[in-house]
Amino acid sequence: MKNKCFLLMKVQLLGQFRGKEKKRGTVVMMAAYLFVDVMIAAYSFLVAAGLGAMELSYMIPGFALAITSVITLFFTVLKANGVLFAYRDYELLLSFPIKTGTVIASRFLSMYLMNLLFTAVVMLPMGAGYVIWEHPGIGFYPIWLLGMMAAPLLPTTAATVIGALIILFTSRFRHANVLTTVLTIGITSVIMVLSFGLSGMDEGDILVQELNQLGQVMLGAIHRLYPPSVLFERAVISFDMFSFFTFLLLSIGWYLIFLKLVSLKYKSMNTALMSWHARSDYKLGTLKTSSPLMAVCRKEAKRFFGCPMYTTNMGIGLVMMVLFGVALAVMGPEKLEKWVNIPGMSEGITKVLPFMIAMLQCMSCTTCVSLSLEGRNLWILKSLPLDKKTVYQGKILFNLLLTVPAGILVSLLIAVRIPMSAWEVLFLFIIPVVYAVFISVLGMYINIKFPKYDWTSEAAVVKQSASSMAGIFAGMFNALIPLILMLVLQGMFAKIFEVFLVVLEGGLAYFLYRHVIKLDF
Amino acid sequence: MLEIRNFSKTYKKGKKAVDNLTLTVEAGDIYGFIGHNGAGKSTTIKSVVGVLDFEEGEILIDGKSIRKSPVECKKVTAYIPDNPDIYEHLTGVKYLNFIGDIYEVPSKIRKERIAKYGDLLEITGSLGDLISSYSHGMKQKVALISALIHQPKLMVLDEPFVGLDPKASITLKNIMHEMCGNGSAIFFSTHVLEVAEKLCNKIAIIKDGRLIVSGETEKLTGDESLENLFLEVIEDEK
Repeated sequence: MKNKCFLLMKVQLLGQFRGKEKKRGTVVMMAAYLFVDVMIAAYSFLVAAGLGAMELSYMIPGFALAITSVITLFFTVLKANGVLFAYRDYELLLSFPIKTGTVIASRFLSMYLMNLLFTAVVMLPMGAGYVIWEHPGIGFYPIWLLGMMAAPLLPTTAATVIGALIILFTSRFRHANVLTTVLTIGITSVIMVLSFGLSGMDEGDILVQELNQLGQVMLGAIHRLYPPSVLFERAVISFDMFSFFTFLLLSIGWYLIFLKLVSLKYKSMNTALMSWHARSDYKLGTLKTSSPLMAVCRKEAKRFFGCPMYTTNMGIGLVMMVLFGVALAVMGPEKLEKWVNIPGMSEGITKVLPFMIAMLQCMSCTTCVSLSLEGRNLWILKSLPLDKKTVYQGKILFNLLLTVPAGILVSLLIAVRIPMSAWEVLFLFIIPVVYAVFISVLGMYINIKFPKYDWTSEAAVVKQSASSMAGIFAGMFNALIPLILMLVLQGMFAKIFEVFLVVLEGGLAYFLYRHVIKLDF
Repeated sequence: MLEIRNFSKTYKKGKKAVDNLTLTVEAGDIYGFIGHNGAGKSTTIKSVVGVLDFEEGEILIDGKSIRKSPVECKKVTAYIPDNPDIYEHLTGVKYLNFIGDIYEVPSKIRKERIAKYGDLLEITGSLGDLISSYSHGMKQKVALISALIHQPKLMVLDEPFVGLDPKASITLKNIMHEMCGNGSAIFFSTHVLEVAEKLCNKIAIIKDGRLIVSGETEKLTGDESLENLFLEVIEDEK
């Protein structure tokens, strides 16, 4: 069983990362992964070193485990459907002489490995930070390494259970895809809101001045956020072997129970998800006509909303943006600052708000994957009498229709709630729109240059392809760097900088668009 | 209607899939393109319809070059691949409407044609369902209707009879005859020699990317069957 499981996992991972993607696409993807990993690792080390410097190093184990687990949970919920369920080669795999449990284990392990990579990138530097400040004994190293390896099991399993429950519930309905999308986004939003809420402190906590007491309060928040962190923390700090083995048993036992339970219902769940509610009683009615451009745009919309994996992963930025806008409008900046526990957030927030909106908008860049998602359907666009310009325009137009109205809505909510000057209000609307246009065109360019058509699951394109990584990170950094600069710039300099950015992004979008429409796909 | 002149296609790894192919399909022709697996049929067909780029030779559709005027050529062409991978997230009717929009077919005519071919192929009742719920044959039928929605002057099909039920195969043959009667041309690849022999007024046999024989079916076969002719020419080329 073990050999078959690893063989299946290997094939799946090769399919996700190798494929026929151009060599430079793979290089870009690896470079993007490396860059992000180095950034995360450096940040993690700095956090651990900072905690150590404040004599709060006892917080490091719990913090490291909690933060990786919550992030793993958050992102795995978004991809469980598509990796474990309803993937393209499901029927082929189930026809092989392999146990269902082996198939599930192989799919699960590929998710686990990806999550372990992320966990290691966070926990290894944080562990190094802990070693520097605490000089623990030799027993620390196996505990930390084994704990790190077990860490993704609980959240990955929990996320997969949530995904499985959503599927079990929604598969009874005709519009299962829509329901799956709504529920996945809803649950992910709840995880996000709760993780902010639980880690935040109430007003009384702010009055606690003594650092050590503050550390205790924060530690309490970490334990509330992720209760198993208590066990890991005791194991690392006090070498409490009972806590350590309880943590390991909990992680592995929970996974084994999950494997057994899902094996029992795996086929029926996939059958329910992959068999459709066919009515076969259609009567031809009036057919609405539209221009070729609108037809392509409408097709993009159907593609986006028809695939929960695509909708949830690319739509989550917009959901976060709207949640942020509503929270800001309802609570006001001061209350929100206390709730999310980011000190100083409310000061000068009006200057950076346009860039925060732009950054979240950039997370929903559909153009950086929409061409790859044509996959085996690419022949349709290639053989139809459509010039490439119309194809690109249709895809860009859909991205704009998705992001710009949501950005305007959030800008409107904020403009009504927070007192701002006319200049600030003007740029609160202009900057997100200009950024949305630029990132839509840039995403299109990136996807033309780095396409991936030979996928078996949308996850390989939406979550792991070079174009998706490059598009989303380029977009986010494009907004993040000016955001940081805006915190530094004051008065007239800030205004000149905003005008400069609008002209720059607008100009870049125009020239890139002129170039893009000449490219072949 | 379709003129392929000295067409060659070499893939990136240096393999020459098609070598100096020349043939002409005229209006009213049902032209069968025969060859074993990997002979170069699909490569030729994909290049004709603009799915594949090529560097050597020229392909003209209705007198226009597919390389220089691709949109004009595609406006009068319809293509159905061997595996009808069509948009699974759309319903059958939405896919057909999308194709109608791209070819700018007026709503009334579009509806009439969908109704006509939908009924002929017995799929109208399922057009409201998602394509992901369709069998291979049903997808093939929807792809076929989409190819007929704009009444193409040239229809290019890659193994069109694979996956179709017997009744749908007969319907397709009738549609092909009807189209050619109206002045259109059909160019299709097939492995089924009996079908080619009965249906095609012209055939071409391709082996290892090179055209071995082409011309009118009756003249080429004479008193023998197409099967015998095929085996003879394939053996001679060894």
